[in-house]
Amino acid sequence: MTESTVFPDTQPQVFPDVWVHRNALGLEIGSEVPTGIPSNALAAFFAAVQVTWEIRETLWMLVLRDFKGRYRAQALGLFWSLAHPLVMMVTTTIAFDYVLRVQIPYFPVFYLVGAIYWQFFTNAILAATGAMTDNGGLIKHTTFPRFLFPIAAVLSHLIHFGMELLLVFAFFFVFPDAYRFNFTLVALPLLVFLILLISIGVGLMVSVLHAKYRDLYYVVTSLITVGFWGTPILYSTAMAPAWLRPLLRLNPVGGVIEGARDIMMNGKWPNLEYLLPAFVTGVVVFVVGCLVFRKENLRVSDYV
Amino acid sequence: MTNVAIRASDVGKHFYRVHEKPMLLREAAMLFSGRRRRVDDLWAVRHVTFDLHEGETLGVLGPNGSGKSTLLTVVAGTAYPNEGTISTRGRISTLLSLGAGFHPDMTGEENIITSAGLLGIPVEEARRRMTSIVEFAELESVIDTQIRHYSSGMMARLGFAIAIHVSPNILVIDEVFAVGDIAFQTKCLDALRELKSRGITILFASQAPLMVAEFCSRALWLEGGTTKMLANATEVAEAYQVAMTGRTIGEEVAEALSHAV
Repeated sequence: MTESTVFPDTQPQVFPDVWVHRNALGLEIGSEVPTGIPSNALAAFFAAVQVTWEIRETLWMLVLRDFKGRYRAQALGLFWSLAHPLVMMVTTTIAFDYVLRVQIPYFPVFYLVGAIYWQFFTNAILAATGAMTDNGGLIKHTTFPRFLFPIAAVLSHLIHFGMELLLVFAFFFVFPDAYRFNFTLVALPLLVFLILLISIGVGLMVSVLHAKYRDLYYVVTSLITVGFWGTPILYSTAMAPAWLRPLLRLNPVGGVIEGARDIMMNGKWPNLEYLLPAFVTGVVVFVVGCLVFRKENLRVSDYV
Repeated sequence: MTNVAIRASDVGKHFYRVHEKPMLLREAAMLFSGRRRRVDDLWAVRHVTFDLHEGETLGVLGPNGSGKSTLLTVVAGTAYPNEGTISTRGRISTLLSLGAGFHPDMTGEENIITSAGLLGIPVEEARRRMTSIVEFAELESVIDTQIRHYSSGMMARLGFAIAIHVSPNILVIDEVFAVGDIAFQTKCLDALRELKSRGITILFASQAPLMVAEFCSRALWLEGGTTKMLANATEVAEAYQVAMTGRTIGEEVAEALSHAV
């Protein structure tokens, strides 16, 4: 064969001295002779973080693909996604503020702050549920790290959430008295980070389990309906009877919402009384999500 | 210091025949009743052992359903073995199916960037290799078109062009370029030969003993998921051809030629 010009890199390939061993228990990275014991979870976690950073551009492309894909062939795609919370805001305000006469000041803003966090959480979880099954081709046929599929699904809804958050800020011009903006706003990204952590944790777990148990989709949608009423969206935890409050505070999404309201509507730092339980459950959910993913990931390509 | 690139030690992989997609309730009920029906596991691959050195090319032959594709997914790392260990060294590029990872709504160019990214190439590097990939696939005229308008042959070209342009140490190919036209097939084989000469290790599943004999250094004949023969490529290809058709490769070629006259 004549000398080819097709390849940009003409150096001979150098094989690294790092061995990757795969057995029934999992993945082990090390020297030539395997020990038979997979690399420990913590090492795997940091390796995953490193990989994510290395291929962040590809992750971003996946996020954009998911995001754009949602509005494919829709003339007013983005408009609808912002119109939905607005329609809900008007409807719930009529029902709760005017008909049921709930004693909550600035109910439209109160509701909207809670609703956008809840919407982000549920949309992210639903998208993550299908992340493995929808990307079946890639999962079966490429070596791309799979944990990035549910994460990309979650992140694509974070873009959405960002726009909805701007919408909440824009309502300052309609209800200026509902807001107290001050330096506590610097804590807002922390709450976003917390809900992102929770969403990724749950997302990792449901994505792999859904590959194996397709019924999970119905379980998830049912739990979301239950979760809506178990989360302080239409009420605040303070309104609940004292015995119920500790239970409600186990819901990390609720803690995030209460915190966001305190920051945006009261100009107060989030209260540790609800933020601490939210943070603890959030971290637990994340760790459990990672561990379930690590276990089920070994078999996921058999099921998609 | 060894120069083994892929080592399969007693690799086995099975699928569950009964509940391929088990249901939550049924599985839960079985857990409670204490009987888990794992008896009729289907072993797609079992007791496969080989060492493949840097720069070697292993052809995998076998009839449909003999476990070729399963073995390839285990080597590539998309599936984990249920038994034994598969050990690899270096970056693996895969071409396991047509158009896997292509997004129908994105253009050819966008798909090159994404697919290369999925195979571990940063965006900037993928852009630098763009011309060379498009040129190799001979798709200059349609590269700005959405993939959904491509023919299957065009997708195969693009997939192959990307897979060989991501600087792999190990290349795993599952008889996918058979879809391309004859000129492109020749081009693919030439490209693979060049990769081989640069020390890339290739694992190559095929239905064509002639191609394996011509291109591979060694070959593995799978039957029912287990190794029937593992030896040098010509030997295995010849034996496989005889077992399948009752004729040697030479007779087969002569026969084809005689019909052509």
